[in-house]
Amino acid sequence: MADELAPLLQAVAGGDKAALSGLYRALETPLYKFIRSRLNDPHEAADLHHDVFMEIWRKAGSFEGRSTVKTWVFGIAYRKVIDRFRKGARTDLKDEVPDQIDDAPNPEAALAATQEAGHVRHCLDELKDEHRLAVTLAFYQDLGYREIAEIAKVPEGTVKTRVYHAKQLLLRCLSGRGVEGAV
Amino acid sequence: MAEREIEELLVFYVGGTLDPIETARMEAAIAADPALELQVATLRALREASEETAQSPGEFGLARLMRDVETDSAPRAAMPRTRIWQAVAGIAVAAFLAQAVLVTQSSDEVTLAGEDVSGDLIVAFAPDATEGAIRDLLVSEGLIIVDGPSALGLYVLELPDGADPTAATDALVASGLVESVEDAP
Repeated sequence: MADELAPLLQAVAGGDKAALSGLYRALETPLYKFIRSRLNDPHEAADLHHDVFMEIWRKAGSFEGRSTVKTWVFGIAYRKVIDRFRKGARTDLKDEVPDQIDDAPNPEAALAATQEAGHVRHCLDELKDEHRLAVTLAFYQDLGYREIAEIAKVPEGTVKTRVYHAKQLLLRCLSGRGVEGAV
Repeated sequence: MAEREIEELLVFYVGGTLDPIETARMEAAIAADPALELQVATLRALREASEETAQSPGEFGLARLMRDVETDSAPRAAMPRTRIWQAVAGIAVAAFLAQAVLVTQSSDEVTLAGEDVSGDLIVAFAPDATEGAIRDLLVSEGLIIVDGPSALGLYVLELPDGADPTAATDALVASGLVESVEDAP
């Protein structure tokens, strides 16, 4: 399928500001949702969002067409989010969450818990970074595992494993909250 | 398809990003397993429940971007030779448009100072105009915010090529989303 955004990016590479506006309008909302899902501060998220588009403006000419434009743009955002965390030297306590889940989630309780947005938000927040980024891209940005592998620069199998563990952790977390809510 | 592989692809199945062969295999596996069916229902509910309502920067983010692009002096990435002509054209356009806008207030009158202005209209949006409504208006008229907000809350808009400024002004006024519209000097 033709990449609808490729002509826009090509024009941006030539210094076309109207094309940059078009690209912005096409991608700004999903991109912001992705960034915001990782950064709690809306101002910080807006700044990073702005930085991504400035980088698109400066580096559009380096796009080689090996991926879709959306994948390329989300790759920029992904790296900036990771950099922001590294520079901030934030301690991610969520790294303590185990990768392997022994007890199976209770799907009925998990389904019940999805009715409360607060439960969903809490359980997403509980995920460690690599899980959360992967599941956010897969689930809320409708990106396939091949595209996520390109964005995160990891093998496809790693993406599948991360998304699988993220799913299990999410369902397990929701199961617990669904059961609590029912008591 | 192995059980673990099905579990690994479930999120992608719900996201609709699998290829047709993978999708068909997943559908067959889900149809044969009520537990998987329940997981799919849960994942779909989860997806709907966590639809972000966060307000994106929208047109104001675009205005900020356009303002910084105007003043950006960072070296641009190298382009393939086939696109050099576009770069030349782009530089020519940028040179034509790269003009600073400085909004100052003199007495009771708002004037634009500076050598040139890279925009066509100066507007003040109504305080109760939502970002979504402003976006719809600008998109429908093909307008782009190229600068602002100034200290006075004014924005500079650029018209699409060949557009009639009077018609654009009428559309802005008729929308009820702007408090004032003036031609840029």
